[in-house]
Amino acid sequence: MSPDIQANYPVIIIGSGPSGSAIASELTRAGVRCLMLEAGKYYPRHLFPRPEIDYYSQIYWGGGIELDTTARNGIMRGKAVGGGTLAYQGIMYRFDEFVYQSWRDLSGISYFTEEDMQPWYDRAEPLLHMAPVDERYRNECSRIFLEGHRKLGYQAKPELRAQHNCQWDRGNDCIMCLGGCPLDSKGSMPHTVLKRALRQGLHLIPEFEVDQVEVKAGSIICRGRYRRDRRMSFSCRRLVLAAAPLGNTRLLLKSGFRDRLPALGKNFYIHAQWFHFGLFDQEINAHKGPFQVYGSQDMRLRRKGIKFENTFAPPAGLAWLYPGYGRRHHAFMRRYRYVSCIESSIRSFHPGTIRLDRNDNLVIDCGLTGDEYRRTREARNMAYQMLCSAGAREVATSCFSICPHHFGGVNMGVDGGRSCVDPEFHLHGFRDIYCADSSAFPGATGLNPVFTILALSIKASQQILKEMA
Amino acid sequence: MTSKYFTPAQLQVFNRIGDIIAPGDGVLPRFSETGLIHQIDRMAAYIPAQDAAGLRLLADTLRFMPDLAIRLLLKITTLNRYFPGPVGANLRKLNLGLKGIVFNLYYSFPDDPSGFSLRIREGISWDGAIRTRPAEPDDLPALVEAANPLNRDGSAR
Ligand SMILES: Cc1cc2nc3c(=O)[nH]c(=O)nc-3n(C[C@H](O)[C@H](O)[C@H](O)COP(=O)(O)OP(=O)(O)OC[C@H]3O[C@@H](n4cnc5c(N)ncnc54)[C@H](O)[C@@H]3O)c2cc1C
Repeated sequence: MSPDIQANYPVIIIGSGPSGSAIASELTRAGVRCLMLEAGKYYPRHLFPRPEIDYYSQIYWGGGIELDTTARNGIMRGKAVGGGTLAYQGIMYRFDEFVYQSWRDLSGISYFTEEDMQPWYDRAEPLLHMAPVDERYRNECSRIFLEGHRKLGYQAKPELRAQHNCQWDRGNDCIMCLGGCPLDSKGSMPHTVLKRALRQGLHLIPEFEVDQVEVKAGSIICRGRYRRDRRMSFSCRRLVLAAAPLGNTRLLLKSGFRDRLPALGKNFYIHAQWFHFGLFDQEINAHKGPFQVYGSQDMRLRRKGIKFENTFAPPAGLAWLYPGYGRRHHAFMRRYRYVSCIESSIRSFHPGTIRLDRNDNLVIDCGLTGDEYRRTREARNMAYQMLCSAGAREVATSCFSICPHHFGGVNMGVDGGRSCVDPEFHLHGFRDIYCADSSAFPGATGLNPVFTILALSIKASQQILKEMA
Repeated sequence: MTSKYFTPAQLQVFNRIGDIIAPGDGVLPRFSETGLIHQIDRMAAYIPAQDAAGLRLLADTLRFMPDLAIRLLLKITTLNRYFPGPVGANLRKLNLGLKGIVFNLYYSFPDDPSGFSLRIREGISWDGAIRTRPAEPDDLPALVEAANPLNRDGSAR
């Protein structure tokens, strides 16, 4: 081992979100010594950053959001032990034939079918406690959402959520858990899947940002900075990339993989989520109790690449999203409790790109075309109809979209010229580097991705174990 | 309190911008009156260096401009949809950046001894809460600590 290498491991995993956590859990269960490197901090549940300003700044990359080149879309990506799942809403979907058909078309990978993926979902399901929210707890915002769908003739159903014991009857509000759930009720990775891995002997270094990967004969070196300024390197026999689309792509581009992976950074997709607000005469109290309880589940909407969600935002987030400023804006905020909200999530069908500028900063082009914007307007009009039919006297749409779901950049496929990861989860041409996280998705999905990231990562783990044997 | 990232003169400019974005309405206070600008490092410490540099440059440029000019500039940023390509994108970025600073400080209710945060909180009747505590003790911090092969200074354990 060369003197600048701190230690050598059979497997290093970069990133501690659902993919990194699931792979760490599977490999350590089989007795493999693994090291996980995570750029973000570990926050114990009693030390989650609390005022909104602090959690946007601290648990997300870029100080909260990273804007794309149009500044219409703000990417939100978690930076903490647990990745995006510290902030997520725990909504779980098994993808169906509709998604897998499009993935097969894009990737040429034949196991993307409901049937072939089912065993992997079945293995992921017991890792988290999943259940819909009991109807008794739905608030007025949920009622408006449901009623609006009914009036427009669309189906909406309770979402399956990874959470338990939230104790809404004792006055708890899920909106408080957007910066981390202090009750451990939300199925975030640190106290579920990752905890298993830790108990099984996983080594974990938080606050370690890997900035270079170097492949040498028989070993892979990960170089980076620990706690911002200590430069260090670790080596491994096998490397798992689980740093999500922007993290993996940036790392591979910086490390010079573009020559061997011509598709690197090319097939990037998002769900652009727009908030539609309705101001009512009566109190709605959308921030109380559970939120994001229902979602549209209607094939006609899915074919259009539209999903409605019954979400809301805490005050600073809402103030930022709501258009305008000044006294009118104050007047709106003074009516915070009278606001209902429907979010439309627009699935991008056209690939965008991720590249680096001269200073190695990310340049994100979401690739949205007139088609995506047309569907955005269509969804906005539907949301307005739903809100107005329930009695909203004013409606407005957020001044930008947030994008908490992003996919690709290191996409899977059989063709090494058009994709980066082969069906057995290796980077094309690199047998010892694996990837099964959201960056490997061949396209957008229109549905919430975490359940599938877990399933795919468990499948990848079996592949890694097979090759190690 | 002073800022590690902005000079007092730059903070003054943000206060002037803040007073246009959050002018107060009798119940809600004017932004500059709250003194919340002095908590700007809570976010400045985490924004990318080039964004912070852009904000400093903006503040230095606006420093000697009258309020009316700043008001006009803000108005133009809201008209971004009429400007195609990078011009529109930069206007949007500016709009979101400035609104982000002001509203994040104003509506996050950070601890503030002068009581303005509380006044804003009450002004919008915000009462989101987690009222219970977890029953189980938290064994995760010890697990995470034990899993780290490095000491805090980076030396091997
Ligand atoms: C507010 C919000 C709500 C959401 N709600 C839902 C939901 O209800 N249901 C759902 O399915 N999905 C939801 N999502 C999306 C979901 O959280 C992400 O899709 C998912 O976490 C992606 O998993 P991943 O393993 O691919 O990457 P991530 O979870 O993003 O983890 C990647 C990790 O890698 C780390 N990293 C990056 N670069 C480096 C580097 N160079 N060195 C070391 N570490 C690095 C990051 O800090 C991060 O912790 C939500 C997201 C957000 C932000």
